[in-house]
Amino acid sequence: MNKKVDVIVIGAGVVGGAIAYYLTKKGKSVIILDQDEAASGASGGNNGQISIIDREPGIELDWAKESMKLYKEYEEIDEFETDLELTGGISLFYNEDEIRIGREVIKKYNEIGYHCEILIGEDIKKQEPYINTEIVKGAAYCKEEGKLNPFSITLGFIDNAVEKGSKLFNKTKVLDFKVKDNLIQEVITNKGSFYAEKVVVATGAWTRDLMSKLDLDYKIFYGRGSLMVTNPVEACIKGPIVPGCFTIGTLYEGDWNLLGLTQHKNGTITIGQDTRSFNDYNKGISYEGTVHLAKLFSEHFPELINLDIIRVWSAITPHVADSLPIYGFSGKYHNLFVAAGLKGAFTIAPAAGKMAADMILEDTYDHRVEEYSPARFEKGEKYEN
Amino acid sequence: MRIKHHPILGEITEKKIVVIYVDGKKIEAIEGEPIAAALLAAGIRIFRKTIKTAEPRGLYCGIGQCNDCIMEVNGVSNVRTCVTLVEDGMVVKTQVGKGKGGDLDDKY
Repeated sequence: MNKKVDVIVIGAGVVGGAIAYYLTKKGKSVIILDQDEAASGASGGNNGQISIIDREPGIELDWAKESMKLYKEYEEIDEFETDLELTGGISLFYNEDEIRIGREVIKKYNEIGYHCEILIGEDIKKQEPYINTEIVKGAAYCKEEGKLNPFSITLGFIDNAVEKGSKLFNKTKVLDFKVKDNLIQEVITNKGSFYAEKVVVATGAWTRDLMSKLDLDYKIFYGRGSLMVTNPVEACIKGPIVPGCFTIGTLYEGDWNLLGLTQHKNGTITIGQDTRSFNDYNKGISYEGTVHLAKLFSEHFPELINLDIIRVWSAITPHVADSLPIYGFSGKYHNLFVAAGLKGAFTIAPAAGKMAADMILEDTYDHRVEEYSPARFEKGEKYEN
Repeated sequence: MRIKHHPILGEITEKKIVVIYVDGKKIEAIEGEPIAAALLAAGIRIFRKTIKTAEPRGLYCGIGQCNDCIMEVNGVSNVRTCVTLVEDGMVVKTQVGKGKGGDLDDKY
């Protein structure tokens, strides 16, 4: 078996998948390593939302716009199904204060050409007829938001890369790296060593642990998000629904559970999310969180209380201390490219993955991603969690 | 068909017979037994049709896990008939495709 390739991608989620897909397309030999299997982390536990108005205008929105085109391309050239539907989405507000901040926030999106508006009271029902406007006082609507199929997309990227000659190693955990002259020479795993010109780390919530093996301390932490899913039903929820605090940037201290949901093409509705910070990778679900979510859902959608919940699961999701992605070449190890902490990754992964592949192959540098550089965490300071 | 003489559980004792309606047809059932049991006893083996290809499905796991036996019961869809008990006058319907999402005529 040839364990020497052009690029090793660590992490078979949507980000690693997209990067591997574009590298393979450009004729490179790629090995994808995952400690579990494709889409087994945050990419597989995802709610499938396209989120726009929780992003700062700039490269992330450029990526989002390009990604929607790329998703359509994948469908057109019959690469894989994405189930992409730009249905419009809403963020929920519960009081006048939130609505007021929401109005301010959407202004900046309207100015750069997005179709956003604040819906009040009964107007919210034009988008979501079953929502309880006794509780939800207002909503920020964004026409450019929508939904997609996280599994189909992540597996689509990886299956395509594998079909074109790349290799996926499941259950392959990176144990260590061998380094010489500021270059990673060898990736040591429980299934032996792998060698490549370049190494991509797209390991989401596991990035901090992995990077510690290189004596780097990236300030990327993680939390546990739980979702529940219903049996398939006819269309009754049009677009993604997210908590308004994501949009208006309200800070929440400690544990929180907020309502966000999406109805998928197959009719199932995923309802989230019970998100908490933990210091372990436990993927269990909590009884209190699940009951609370079910209660929140029935308060928001009293006419849909007969929906049958058939599964509940958790995913470990990363968050970076300064809320920016960690994306770009390491300053310390010259053949190490990091792509982690990309919030709402399905909205931007195609374009971000494509750009990453270009950067990796041509060593080009896009100034728009300057502030995402991993070098900001490589200055030798140690961080406390 | 019912097991009237069970080697371990013994003889079937006197039970109250009730009536349920399955796709408009009246059938007799024992009060408190799972809906699926009543349907099988009445010779009904097709409980629903699948979403994509409308293939017939019926009882599979029988313990509430697999969701193959879901039907519309008293207007509520996606009801697991293997773990839902019979009540007098219940209206049960074969579920074709996805369950009902809500009652509004114009969904959105």
